[in-house]
Amino acid sequence: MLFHTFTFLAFFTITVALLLIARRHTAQKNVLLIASAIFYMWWNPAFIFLIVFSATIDYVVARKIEQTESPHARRSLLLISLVSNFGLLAFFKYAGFLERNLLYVFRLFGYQPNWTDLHIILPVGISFYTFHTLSYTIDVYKREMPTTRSFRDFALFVMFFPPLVAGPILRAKNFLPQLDTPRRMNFDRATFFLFLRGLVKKALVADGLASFANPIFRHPTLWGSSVIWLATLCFYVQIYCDFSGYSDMAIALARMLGYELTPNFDRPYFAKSPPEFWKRWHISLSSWLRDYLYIPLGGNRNGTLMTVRNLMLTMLIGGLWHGASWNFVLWGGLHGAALVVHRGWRSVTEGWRVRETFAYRLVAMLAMQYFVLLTWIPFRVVDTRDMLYTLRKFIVFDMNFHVADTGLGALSPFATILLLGGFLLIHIASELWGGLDEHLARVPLPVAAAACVVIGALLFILWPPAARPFIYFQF
Amino acid sequence: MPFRSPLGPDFTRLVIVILCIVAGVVMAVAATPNILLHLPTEMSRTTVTVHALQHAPPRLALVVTGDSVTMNGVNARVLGSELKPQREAWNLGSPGQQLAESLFVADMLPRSVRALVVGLLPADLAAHSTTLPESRYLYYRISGYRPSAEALDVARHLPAPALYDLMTEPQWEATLAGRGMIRISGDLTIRSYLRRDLDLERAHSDLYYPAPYRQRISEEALAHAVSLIYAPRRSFTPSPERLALLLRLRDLLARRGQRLVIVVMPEHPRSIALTSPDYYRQLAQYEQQLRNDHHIELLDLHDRLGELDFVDQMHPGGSGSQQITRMIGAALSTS
Repeated sequence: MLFHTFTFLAFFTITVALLLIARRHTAQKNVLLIASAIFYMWWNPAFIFLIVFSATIDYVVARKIEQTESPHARRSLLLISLVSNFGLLAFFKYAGFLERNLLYVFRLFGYQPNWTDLHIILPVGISFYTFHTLSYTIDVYKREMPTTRSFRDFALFVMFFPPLVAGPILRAKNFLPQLDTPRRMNFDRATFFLFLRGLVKKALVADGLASFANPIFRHPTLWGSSVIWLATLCFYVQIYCDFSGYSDMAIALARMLGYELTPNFDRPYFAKSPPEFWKRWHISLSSWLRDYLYIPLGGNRNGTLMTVRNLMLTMLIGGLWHGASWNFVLWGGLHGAALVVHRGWRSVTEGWRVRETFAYRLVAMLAMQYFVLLTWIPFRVVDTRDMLYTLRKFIVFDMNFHVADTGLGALSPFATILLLGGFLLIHIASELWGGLDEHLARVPLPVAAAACVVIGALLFILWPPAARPFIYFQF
Repeated sequence: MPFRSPLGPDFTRLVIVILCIVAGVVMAVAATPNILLHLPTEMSRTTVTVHALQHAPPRLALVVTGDSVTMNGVNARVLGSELKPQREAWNLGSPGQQLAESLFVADMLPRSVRALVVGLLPADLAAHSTTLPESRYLYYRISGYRPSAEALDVARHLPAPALYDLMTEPQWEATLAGRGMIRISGDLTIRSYLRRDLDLERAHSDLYYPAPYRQRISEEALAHAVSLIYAPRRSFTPSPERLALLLRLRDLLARRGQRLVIVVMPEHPRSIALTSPDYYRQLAQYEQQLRNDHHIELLDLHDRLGELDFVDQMHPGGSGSQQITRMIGAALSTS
């Protein structure tokens, strides 16, 4: 059930109506839990058992941890939670990957094993809700929060439908306290325009650019540098708009229901360094990895070598979190290496006055964004040969500007460039003067109304013929 | 005491904002057909051809339909001058034209027309679909075409109901699908400024020789285009759906005293080189079957042109179109 479909509109309207009828806080939580279960079961009803199993394990284990004083027993209980959660994640997400790699190794040694392919279906959102539940158990273990008495509340935290399938990743200590007090639904203009912003990003920009980028990346070796650059730029904007669009809609929907989620993006394409990029991109994942992986590994407290190891490990695991494929590991590794190099560069240039100048910051931003563009190639192009070709064409420009008569007509390249340019202009304006949605929420009603007529017309004209699923659903 | 909405204090204003968005959508739905009529799109030629057919001169005796290969390959002015007695002939091909569109053209043909020549590629005889995208049909509707009972009857009796469903759906539904053409029009407008090698104005309005592709592309671009669009073909499997449409089209025209002539248009030698000889053997057998069993007039030109007769990977150039036109003219005069 995608947010930008009529099915979801009907689902959400019915949910809100039932919440209004329920009135009492407890009854409203029941409605939300049932709605969330229905939302999740829309993809595959069987997987509801998996999410309930995961929630039950962590609910019980966390209670036991809280009741236990012995450090050894607490550690063992935490281990049970980690093994069961990561075990499920590993089975559903990484078993096929392991199988493919084993086969490759066997073939290297001339052995042709004859086993049946497992064909495991990836439960939607498993990477997200696994991290929801683990944040709870680990925080209880670290005595940073008390357990919740109500299994219903805990299940609602795990299954709350707006961020369930593609984030933002919830932290128990931020969300569970919100379930203790009655919530007031909030259908104000600011929230609605936040939803609309996400909708426009996803349906108009991301899907519009995907219709150009997808066919190019299907057979990248047919194209020269100029087309590869254009397609990479399209994917650069597409993935941002697709993912941040989902986050905007999820945050807005939660706010309409009376709940606050943490922001997930802060215009990462204006980042001037790798650490800044990760403070602005998929914030809920990067902060999760920082708090529950990088810092427990030792962070930057044990000397340069250990810091490098911790950074690389965190980013490699972060890459692997995205998908069971070596290209995601490579993507994470490149970002890890960038963080390491940046640490070195920062210590060398410490105290340089030039770092404060506008020119330096502009160059730093452009260099960082060139690197981000480059790293989206291994993220997007799975086949190794295609990926190497694409990277070569991207890095070494072949001066082939032969675009016009090369059979691109059906992909509307010029309309794509217009869409890309239009988005980048609005994005730059948003960074300088604030988001369009924030302005629309503040202007007098007649002005907002007139703008909405235009937005409505644009939505109709540019709405894609078929709803594409969000990229991050596959993770 | 003022009313407090349980959905928040700003809810009333939000309702106004949502209604304005809905109003924007409704206005866009209502305006789209008019916008499409005035914006340059790949389908703009349809408005020209439909208008021309509705106001056809009594001397019009021959109409040619087909996609951009036919647009580039048949010079109807020459074809008309070769008719005995000399009459008017039109090339009403358009980019990406589907076989089903020949049904609409046949439906609009004035009685003076003696033959409808349909240019097809071999692959068109094997494709299964007998319908066309909603956005393409929308242009026929907004240009004023209304299917006759006979044309609806043809569509109703096809093996798949898709074409009939399309021809009978309400206009607003077709408008929903046609909205994408506005985006395409943006692309075409920019392309018409950038691609001086294309004669888009001629492709839009010329009723005789609307060939947009005039300039030969470079060897490098040709090699690239061939690798992009051609894959090896091993066997030819005729499509029963297409056959049903052709037979019904033939019957519709026959009832009006008009002929249907199918021309299998030339393929680029590099495409032929990639194709197995079995494919063409099976194609030839099928064509024989169409002529003998189904009494369809068919002219096969698939291998009649050399590489230099094409301007790119598929469109015949000046010399190619001269040869095609001459061969069609000869076939029409002898049959």
